[in-house]
Amino acid sequence: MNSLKHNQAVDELNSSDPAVRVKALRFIKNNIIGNKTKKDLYIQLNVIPKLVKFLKSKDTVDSQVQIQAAIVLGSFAYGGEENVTEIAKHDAIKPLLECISLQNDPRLIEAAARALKAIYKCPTADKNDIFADHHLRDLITLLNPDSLHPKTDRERIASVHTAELAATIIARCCDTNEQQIQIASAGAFPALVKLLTCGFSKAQEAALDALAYLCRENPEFGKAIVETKSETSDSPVKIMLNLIQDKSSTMRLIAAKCLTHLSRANAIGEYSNDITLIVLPTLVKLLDEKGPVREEAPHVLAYLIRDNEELQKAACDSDAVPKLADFVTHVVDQESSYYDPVGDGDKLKENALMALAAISSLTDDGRKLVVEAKIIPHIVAAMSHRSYGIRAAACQCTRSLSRSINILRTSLVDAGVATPLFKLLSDESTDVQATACATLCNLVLDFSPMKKTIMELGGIEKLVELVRSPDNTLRLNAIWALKNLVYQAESDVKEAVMKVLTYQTMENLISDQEIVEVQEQALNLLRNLACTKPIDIEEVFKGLSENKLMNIIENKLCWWNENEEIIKQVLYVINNIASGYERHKTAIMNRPTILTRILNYMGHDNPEIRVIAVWVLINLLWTEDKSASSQVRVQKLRDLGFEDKVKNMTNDENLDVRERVKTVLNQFSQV
Amino acid sequence: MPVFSNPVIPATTSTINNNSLPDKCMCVDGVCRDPSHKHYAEQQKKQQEQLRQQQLLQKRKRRLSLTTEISSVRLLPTTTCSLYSGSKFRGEQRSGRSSYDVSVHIQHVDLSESFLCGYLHIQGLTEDYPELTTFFEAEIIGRKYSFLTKKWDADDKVDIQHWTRFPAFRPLKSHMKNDGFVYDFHNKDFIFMRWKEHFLVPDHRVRTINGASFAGFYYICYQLSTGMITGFYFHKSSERFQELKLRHCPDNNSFPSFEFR
Repeated sequence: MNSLKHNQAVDELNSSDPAVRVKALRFIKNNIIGNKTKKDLYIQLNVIPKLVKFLKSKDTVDSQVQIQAAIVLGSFAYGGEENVTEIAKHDAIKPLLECISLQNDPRLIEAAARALKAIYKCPTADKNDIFADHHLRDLITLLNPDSLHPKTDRERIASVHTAELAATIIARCCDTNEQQIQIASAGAFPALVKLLTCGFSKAQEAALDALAYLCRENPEFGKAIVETKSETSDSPVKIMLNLIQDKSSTMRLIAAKCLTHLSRANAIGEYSNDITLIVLPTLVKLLDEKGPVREEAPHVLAYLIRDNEELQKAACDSDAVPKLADFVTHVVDQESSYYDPVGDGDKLKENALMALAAISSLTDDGRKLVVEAKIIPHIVAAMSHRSYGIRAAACQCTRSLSRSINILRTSLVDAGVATPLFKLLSDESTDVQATACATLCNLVLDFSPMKKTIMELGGIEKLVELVRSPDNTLRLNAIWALKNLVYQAESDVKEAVMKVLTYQTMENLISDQEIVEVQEQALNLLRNLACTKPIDIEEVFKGLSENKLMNIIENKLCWWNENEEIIKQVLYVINNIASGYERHKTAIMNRPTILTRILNYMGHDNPEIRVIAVWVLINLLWTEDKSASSQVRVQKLRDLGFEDKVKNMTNDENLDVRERVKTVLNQFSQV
Repeated sequence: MPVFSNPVIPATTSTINNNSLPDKCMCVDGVCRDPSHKHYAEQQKKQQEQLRQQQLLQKRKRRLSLTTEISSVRLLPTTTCSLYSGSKFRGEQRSGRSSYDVSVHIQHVDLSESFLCGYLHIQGLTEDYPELTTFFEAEIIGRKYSFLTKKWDADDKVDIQHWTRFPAFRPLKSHMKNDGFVYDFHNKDFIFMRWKEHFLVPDHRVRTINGASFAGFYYICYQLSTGMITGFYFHKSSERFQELKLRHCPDNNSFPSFEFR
């Protein structure tokens, strides 16, 4: 390569004559735009520090040097993640942010904003700087094109373009709740809502995008956006419902996304008909588009219908499933992509799998449609895809399907899903491991024909390894799977699990410091272990020691615990122990604190908790013979006030409770 | 402009000041700028580690992504009396003068979805299969499923003929065809269902069995207070009103549980 002239250009950047520097910068700019090799070459020639120096130099009368430097940096940033890392390494972000200050040349502001947009597109870019000093205020000021005082038409268009860039930067800096709060506090909502009606499509799209990310998973901000006054007579939601009918498919997609985020944030409950009748069908229709729009539409669709049974049903009634299934089966177009300029349909496939997972997550109708689309072999193949996103999405899809025993016993076992899924428990990506483990929870159940395969592959050892993970999701999913695995299991399976897991680890999980769900699952494991046969209960007594076991129970009940799921699990543990031998019952009877708590829970608001509490009593009152110890037990329970309590429950509003109360009263009357 | 409580300012951990690049190493405040100096490499490494930790933290905060969690709704089992996962019923099915031992093993109950499913074991039906096991799914009559079947070759007339065999149904008969009539089974002593067998267990690929068929379905009535299940089999070309009678078998009063993830 003839690098002489390039070296010369770099040398000229050191010239004391601004005109020479500008000329060199223009030369570099023209060379690198759209040319990856040249970008790399100049980065190797170490131009970035020079550009940063130019950006910082305030003494130039003419801002051309700064403008050209910003443009060149922007061009580097568009070259991809590595370049952005390089730019960040040379501390270029801060000076670029200084350039967007209103007192600067509008052309410099525009060039710097464009560079920042490219930098923040990169998911690993550090976003802290933008929240420092006055930068957020500067950005929000730029959302109003008039603040640059454009005089000519050309300037007017440029200022709208700058507003668009500012909105896009904002949209890309709302990853966390803290970031959302700071952007909103700087006054983003009124400015963005105003931009929604500016009449320039690209700026309107950017404003919608920013609003969408500002209210993502944030009900407070969803409401704030909906209540923001617009300058027209229409409310922001009405404006969005107008934009969703736009002729541009990009506009329709982003409007649908914004309304989706508002809906997920419970901010537009009164528009639920519009969500079902306009937003959902729009998204399904967008699946017929091409390129980035088609690629992102399934992702928005998945998010919209996630956890919402009604919308999942509506999606089933549309023709979404066959269209999405088609992407999973046939996609490999070479169109450029919104996320990845050299995308090859990976993202589309991932998003389509995700949308299918969402559609089939809660209803059997959805699952049947996915099975009928005959894509399960493709889902299984996708588990070995090179893209981690696709592997994770394939797991999600399998997870949704495996919630049906019918499908577990037929299509999934036919497709041989167990072995490829099991491999993903050791995936290099924690996200994939976590989703694979969630899916495995359903495959190790008593009625799953794949339980045996997974155990033969070393499932217990692997799950115990994952249960020790510091990653919360992974730990939760692993303990969940172990709990499911010992559900209705034979004694030898229980023993095999506990040999690897150890009672000590189970005890630690029962008091997990990070998430209460892990505690709940570990208690459920204990419940399943101490179950069915008295010898299984005996095993738990041996493993933990009676004293420790009773202490665990007492701690969980006495600690001011309002988590109903925890209460239920502890009560079931007690119940199952009470179903055992005389000495198991005695262990509970020896703990007055536990007995008092059971008595209290008979008056709990939740009927399910009342039923279990009464069940415990049934088991404690159970007598195989008229032995002296059982007589003592009944008398003691009577003295503690259990009989009186139960007599007051004969008119309980819940039928299950009333039925069990009958049993107890019958038991008392027989002694 | 809404008021927000406690805006949290993320700590900027960067210790690097933004002065222009110095010409030689100035290890001031622990910051080194000279690539040739030994401190530089150490510092770069430290910075990268810091950045990595930060990104990890951000990633953790963002963990609620569709990639890891497509559904956050818990599928907690919703059960009632003897309708729970693992519950067993035993009894017989009468066909003409013969009767066969039948047992039912409930695998999963989800009342909130008006759903349950399980295995149905029938003894001595054919010589090839001394015991036949089928997997069935139930539609529980309620918010989701009406008394009117509208499928499986059962018209309204067939529905009435079968449902009215259950004394508990008779008071409901006049409402049955009313639009919008929903039988709310919650807190009621009687639960009505349709049980449809789907395939054989363990081998679901076996499609035909000599001398047996599971092409039809059962009309079912379950009574909570007694734990009794009564049913009538219907198939357009089978003998009518074959009666199923099952009684709940109490287990040892201990209850394991699972939950789909």
